[in-house]
Amino acid sequence: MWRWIAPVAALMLAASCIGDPGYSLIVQNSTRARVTFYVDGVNARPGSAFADGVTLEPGAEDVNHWVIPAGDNDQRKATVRAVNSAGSIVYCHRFGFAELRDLHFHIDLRGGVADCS
Amino acid sequence: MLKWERISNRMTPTGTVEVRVNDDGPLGWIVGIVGGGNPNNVTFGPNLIVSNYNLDPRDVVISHEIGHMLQAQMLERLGYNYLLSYVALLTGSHATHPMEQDANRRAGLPPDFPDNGKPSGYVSPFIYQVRGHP
Repeated sequence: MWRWIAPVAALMLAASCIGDPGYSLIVQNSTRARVTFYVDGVNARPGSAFADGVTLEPGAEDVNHWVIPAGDNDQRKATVRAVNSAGSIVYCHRFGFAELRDLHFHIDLRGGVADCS
Repeated sequence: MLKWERISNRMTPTGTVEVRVNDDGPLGWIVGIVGGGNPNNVTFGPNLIVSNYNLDPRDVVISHEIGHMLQAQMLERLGYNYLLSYVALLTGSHATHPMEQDANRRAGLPPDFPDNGKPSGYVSPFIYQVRGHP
């Protein structure tokens, strides 16, 4: 522990926003059909799982690293949108950080949730 | 607290690293402070990764942190302190920090990770086992 004190003090003096921000988030398909989900509103680029989508079989889950919303003081919201094999929206919800925390960073994709519009 | 064991880059075994998750001790507090009060993850050297929030063992950020761990191993073999080296190179943003970009390169991630989360179809170049704290 002691051998870290000087470097850590230097880190704290140097600047804030050091380290790799974000947290783990699990999305689970709790429907009875295969779905593909996307995450909007997180500045995702093509080539990322957020933008390209992740396909989940029933019961399967995906783990990703989220940086938006960043924390309690971040008012941004991320939209999780899932479509079925026909391309119809089967799930859509906007999440703020507090709600994600309340869900223990575990989102269940289930039918009947489509409150984004 | 978790332990990652037998980390390797499929070529060279590199050892064991302790990963503290939801750490509410002094280091977890520091990780929160330097992260601006938000969820944050810091590699403190070749043997310790600390998160002040939830960190799933399957999270892609683990591969990025292993990239930092390999940097720390290399720097300490050369006689440099990893964290002081990190601070010395601290210019610009997280995405442009040379040690962040190097950690991403080692992990096969885009240079600006974690800004876009996991790349589509990402497979970590590292093999690791996870063991709960005894």
